[in-house]
Amino acid sequence: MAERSRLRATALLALLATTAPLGGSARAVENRLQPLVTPAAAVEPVAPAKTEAPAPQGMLIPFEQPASALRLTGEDDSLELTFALPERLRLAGGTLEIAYDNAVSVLPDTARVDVSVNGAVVGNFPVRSPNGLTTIRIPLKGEQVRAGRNLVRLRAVQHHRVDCSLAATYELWTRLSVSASGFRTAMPFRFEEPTDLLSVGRNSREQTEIRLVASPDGAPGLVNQALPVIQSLALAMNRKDVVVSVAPVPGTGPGIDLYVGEAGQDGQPDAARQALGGAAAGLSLRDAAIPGRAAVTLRGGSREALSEGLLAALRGPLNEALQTGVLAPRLGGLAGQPGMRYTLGDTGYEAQPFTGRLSRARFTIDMPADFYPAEYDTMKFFLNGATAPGLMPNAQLLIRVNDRVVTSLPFRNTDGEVFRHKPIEMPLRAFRPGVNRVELLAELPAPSDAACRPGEREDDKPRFMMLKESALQIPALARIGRLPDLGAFAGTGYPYGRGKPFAVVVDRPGPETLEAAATTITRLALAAGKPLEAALSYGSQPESKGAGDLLVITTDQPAAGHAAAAESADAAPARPAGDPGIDHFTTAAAGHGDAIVSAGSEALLDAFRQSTSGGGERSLNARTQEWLGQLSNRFNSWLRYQEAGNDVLPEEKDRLISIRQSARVGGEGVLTAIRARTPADLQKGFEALVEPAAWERLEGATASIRTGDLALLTEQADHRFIREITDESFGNFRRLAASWFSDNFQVYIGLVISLFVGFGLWLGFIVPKKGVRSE
Amino acid sequence: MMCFKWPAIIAGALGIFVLWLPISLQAQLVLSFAVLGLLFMAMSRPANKTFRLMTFVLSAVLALRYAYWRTTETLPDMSEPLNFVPGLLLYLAEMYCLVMLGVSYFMLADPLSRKAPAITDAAALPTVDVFIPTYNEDPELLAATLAAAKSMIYPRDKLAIYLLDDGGTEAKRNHKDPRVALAAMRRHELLKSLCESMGVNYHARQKNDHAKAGNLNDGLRISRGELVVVFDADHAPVREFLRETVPFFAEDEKLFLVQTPHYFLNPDPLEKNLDTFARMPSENEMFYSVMQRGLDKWNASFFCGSAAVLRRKALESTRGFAGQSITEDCETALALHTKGWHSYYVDKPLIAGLQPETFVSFIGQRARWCQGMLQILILNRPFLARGLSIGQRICYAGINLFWLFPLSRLAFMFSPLLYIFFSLEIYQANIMEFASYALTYLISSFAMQSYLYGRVRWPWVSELYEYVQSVMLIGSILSVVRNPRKPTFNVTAKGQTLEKSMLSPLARPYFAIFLLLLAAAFYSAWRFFTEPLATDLLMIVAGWNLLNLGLAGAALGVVSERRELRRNQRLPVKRHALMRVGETLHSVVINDASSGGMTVEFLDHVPEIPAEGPFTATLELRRNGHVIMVEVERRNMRSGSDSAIYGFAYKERTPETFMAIAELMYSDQAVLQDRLTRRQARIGFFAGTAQFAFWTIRETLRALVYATGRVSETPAESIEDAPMTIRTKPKYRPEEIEDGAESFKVDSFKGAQVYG
Repeated sequence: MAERSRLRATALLALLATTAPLGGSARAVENRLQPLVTPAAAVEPVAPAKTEAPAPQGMLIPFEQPASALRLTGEDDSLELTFALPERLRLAGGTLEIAYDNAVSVLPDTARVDVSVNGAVVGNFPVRSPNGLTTIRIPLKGEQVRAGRNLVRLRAVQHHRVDCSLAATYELWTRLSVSASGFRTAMPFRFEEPTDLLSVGRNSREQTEIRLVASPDGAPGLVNQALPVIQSLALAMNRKDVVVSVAPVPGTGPGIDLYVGEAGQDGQPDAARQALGGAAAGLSLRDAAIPGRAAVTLRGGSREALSEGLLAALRGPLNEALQTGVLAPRLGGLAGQPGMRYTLGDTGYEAQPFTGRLSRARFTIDMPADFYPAEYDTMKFFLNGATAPGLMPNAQLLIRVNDRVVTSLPFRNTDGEVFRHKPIEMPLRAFRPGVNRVELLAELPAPSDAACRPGEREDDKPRFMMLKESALQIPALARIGRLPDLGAFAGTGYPYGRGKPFAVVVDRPGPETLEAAATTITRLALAAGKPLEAALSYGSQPESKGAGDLLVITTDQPAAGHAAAAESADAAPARPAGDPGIDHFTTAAAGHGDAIVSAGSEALLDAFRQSTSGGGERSLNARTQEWLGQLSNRFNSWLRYQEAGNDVLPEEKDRLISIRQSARVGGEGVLTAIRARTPADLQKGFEALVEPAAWERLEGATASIRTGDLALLTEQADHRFIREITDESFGNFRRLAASWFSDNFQVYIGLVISLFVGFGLWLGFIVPKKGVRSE
Repeated sequence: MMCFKWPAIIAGALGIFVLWLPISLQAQLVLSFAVLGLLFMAMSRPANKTFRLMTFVLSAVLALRYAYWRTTETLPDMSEPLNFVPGLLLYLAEMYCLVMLGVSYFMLADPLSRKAPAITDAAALPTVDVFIPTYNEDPELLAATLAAAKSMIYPRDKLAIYLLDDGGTEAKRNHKDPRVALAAMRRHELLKSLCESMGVNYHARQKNDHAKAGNLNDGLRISRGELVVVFDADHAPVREFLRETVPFFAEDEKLFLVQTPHYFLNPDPLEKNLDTFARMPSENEMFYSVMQRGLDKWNASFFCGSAAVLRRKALESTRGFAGQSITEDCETALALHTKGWHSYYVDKPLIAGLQPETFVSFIGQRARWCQGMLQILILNRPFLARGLSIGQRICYAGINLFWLFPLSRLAFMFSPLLYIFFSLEIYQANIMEFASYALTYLISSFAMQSYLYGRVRWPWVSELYEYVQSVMLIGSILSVVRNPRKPTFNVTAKGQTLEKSMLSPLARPYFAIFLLLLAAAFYSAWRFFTEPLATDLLMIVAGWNLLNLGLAGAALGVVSERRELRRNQRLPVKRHALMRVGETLHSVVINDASSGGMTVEFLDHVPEIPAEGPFTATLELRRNGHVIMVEVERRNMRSGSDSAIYGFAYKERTPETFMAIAELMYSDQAVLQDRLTRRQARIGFFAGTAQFAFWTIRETLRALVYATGRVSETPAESIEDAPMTIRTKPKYRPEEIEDGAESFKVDSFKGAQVYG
């Protein structure tokens, strides 16, 4: 039975694999490049309705992008958003609703947002909502929208009220509300067809929730039979903020309730029995009891029946959703295929003259899961573009990779300069397996910015243009599956997404642990672009030994409630034997709130020193020592490929939740453990962890959510193990050797010196005997 | 030891592979420091050959890493031709330097120090013909050389001396220009008389074909000696010359050459104008004291045109001296090496000669060497020549390729300007990369330079010599590359004087370059302080330009010629002699001597020498009981540290006088050696750099004074030397000189030979 089930699952994987485009460049809709400037003459002003008008009666179909992506920053930025509309509602049209607020510093007189839908300009509106959300409504006729996914492009042009400096442009933002923005249908909306799933709204936590209606304390069988369905639905929706919950009752608020199996099946809760009892065989969709919530049923008496039902839906109604979603080349993203050259045009970038002080272009690169980032080569960006005369000499182009500036190109020629394939090299070490965020920032100050007088501001004068022929050259990469690597885990699902079955162990069944397990599996499926064959089981002690890959969800205590203020170091469990060591530590701005964080002892000491150092005059000797110490620290950090100042390690008690990867003892598999002290901690921490902004920043061997501010902390492993080598060419081995020696340069130096000293000794012996003998 | 061969070779090959891995900057920096540390440790025992070779290997590690990085990461993209083309040229210049570094390491792997074997049987000594080719040199200069040659210790029946006069050939004497013809006839007669009076052979061939090589070949035609010695007209040998060279030929039947160094009595223009001759090793000492010894290891030491002994039989196997190029010496050696003949080098100064005094003649000489060596490179292709060993191929290719240095030197001089003035980024690196790769490589290069050549070359002096030549030789290189057979032999002018200090006629381009670099220095400073995004590259390039500016400033001093009134170069002989004043003999010490006179210090009793008016005396030199007397007259007097020092000039200069001059100046090789040894003292990098910086400032200011015509010099009286007087019948015939017999007796010769 298990074998047949596996065959079914394999068939499902094969189906998805064959429908996936081979090596096509991904097109992302969530990370759009800017600038996107519609010529003013071409824009027909449309007076959008303001929020005072009574709201229509239809349902608000949200944008598919997560909340973290709905920001327009700087002076000129653009966003591409999508929403899915059923065919039956298209003709009636509806209203595009944009609920936004903006920074106080945005000058309302000139700030505006241009809106286009499916390539057609539909209107614009001024940006003037610093005190709270304002909803802009733009009516759309049936011919302006299409069935399936629609593309909405927003371009914001905004300037600072009083400050024309470059730095001030970083203060400019306009933010959309993910829950209050979207497309409101003109007609009442009912969930009827499987594709209506794409229109489902988000819950109060701004997440797309799939709730499996099953008892979280029961046997794992029900969850296991539901996992392929959950993954498939998530793949069809292709939302980065999807979370999975498990409860015996349907959820509240917008979301999806999922019922899988048969009504008479053991362990089914009452709600499931009712839902499945009246459902047709196979996958079906209907309205749930709560408005805006969908009920999905997959009815089948056996695993085979369930698989057939799911396959039928995937081949049929959901196929287009897959093809236009997770399997489609992502606009705004590039597949980092080694040796390939991509243009900015491939990311959807459209070249326009830029008139502001800070031009931004963003895209993502999906690097292979077995990519080894090191210095054996560089990623080259070839700039095609020009600067205008009259810029300040400190104008420059900065390239940021994964939030760090990695290189710059000064625009020294104040008379303007034309760049034709100007190469700019980015270190490969700045990239990582999985999704990488690249930002091209052109800082373009002009002398007139200093005065910033009304009427004399040069807000409309073009300063820079980057052509879409600007290209990115990806070199031949060192390829080796190295673990632990949470970047590859979150970005590509590696190694779980390779198509092989793996085990998921939950130490204590419960809603928190099952939610973590199911959501993690679903996120891995989204990263891998296909459903994974995961087998959930319960076990009190996670098995760290054995073969095969393992995902473990564990809590130290069954009791609810997190003792955030617990001071006892004894309460913190010791690190399990065999855990990877830690040598690197970074934080990402993914947290909520500004809670004070209890840091490590070193951090406390640093804070103490800093807080007490300003009180009086210190001696030259003390200052010199401090300067030398800082210099030494910076040099040491540089030698370890780290950024200085990020070496404060958190204490165990400050970790609300952690995700840690390590090798399985005695086997080839990898163990990924998500651990919290209590189920409550797990729930709270996991919620922060799976926020798209945090999830895509996972890297290293361990990631933690800090208790106080829910910040993401990542720690690099000082030792990695080789999982597999897929490329056995000489060139790959040479690149691998270079990478490994770079990471372990003590070995390299020892080897070089040994080899050449040996050679030199032999020369010392042989040379006097050669030529005219001189012994 | 065979068991170590393959592991060592594999280690080397694996080492090369590992070095060519694209590792991180961090790894490179730590590697560089580690290797530098080991390098300095290995340098601590220079006498140990293994340690010596270890320094080469460790230095090569840094050089190879630099070459790899330079090749793979610093070249501009081809899509930017304005950056790429000059960037590629600079890169090629650097790669040339790296190749030359590798070649020099090979050459200097194990320099030899040869010592002449003892002569056991004087009767078995080979017959020797001494060739002194001449073209337009003064008879007085020739007389001194002939006298020194005649004074060499050797059995007289086995020694024949030939003055091969190309200035008095039949073709010259019958020249269609009557002035030329008359001058040639007068020269012919004068030198013929000189030779007759000195008991040497005079020969003038019919035509001047193939310049010096043709002249020497005609000498071969008319002579029969087993060995041939070649002395340039200004190269006077010491008495021991043949004793230090000829015995080697008995050791090795395949030996065709024993070359000795060229020791110079006078400074070259750089030494003269920068006033370094007394303290700093001469330029050629690096070649003769280091390079030739290294070449000797690989049987590749080569003929330098003079101060050498060659085997006639070997020369006959290649039909005499080669004359395809204008450096017949190196070409001849190459031809003989390809035939399997051997060469030796004896690192002992055995002749004293003259260098070109003026910058113009200096450049003329270097242009001939440059063109001749490149002719050999192009026409003879030594690296591919059949019959040479691998070592010889590398050595010959290296010594020929060396003369492409003007291309690289000028590339280094002008490259920074492209960035400073035009922001062309032809060398793409940031300051950390530069520090990790280039700086550590440069440190190792300077350290190795000091380690290998520190005794004979002060820091930055090589660069200065290269620069001053490069500006003028670039045209010579282009000319010979365009037409390798075009260059013709030009005789280097020597023994010139300069009445007053002045700028060289060739000075103009050096001033132009200096001003350009100065402007670049100011502009780069302005950029550095005004550009908000002044980059690492600007800092590197500005520093580089400052170094170039220093070189250019010092070069201004080289082309600002100090006056030179001295006609004859003095040699500090420190020799005891007697001076007869009236009837009284006084013990004197001859401090220094030249072919015009000497300075004398009275030891015990100073005779009454009138302050004004003529004063004559007789100098008596004694050797092995034989007395040589020469009339001298007082020229001047000055105060010495202990007593007065008197300058005397020869009252007349007859052939006998020149024999006395030879006895006075060239009877003791130690005189030359001592002077050489005294100058060959190491100077540290920082002291050398400080010294060079001082020269830069001082010489720049001096050149500006010259350029603005503000030279204030008091006129100095230059008194003519006594004219040469030739009597019809020579006083000394070879058979009449018997002092040599005693010399041989006290030396190692044995048996019943006739020495005079």
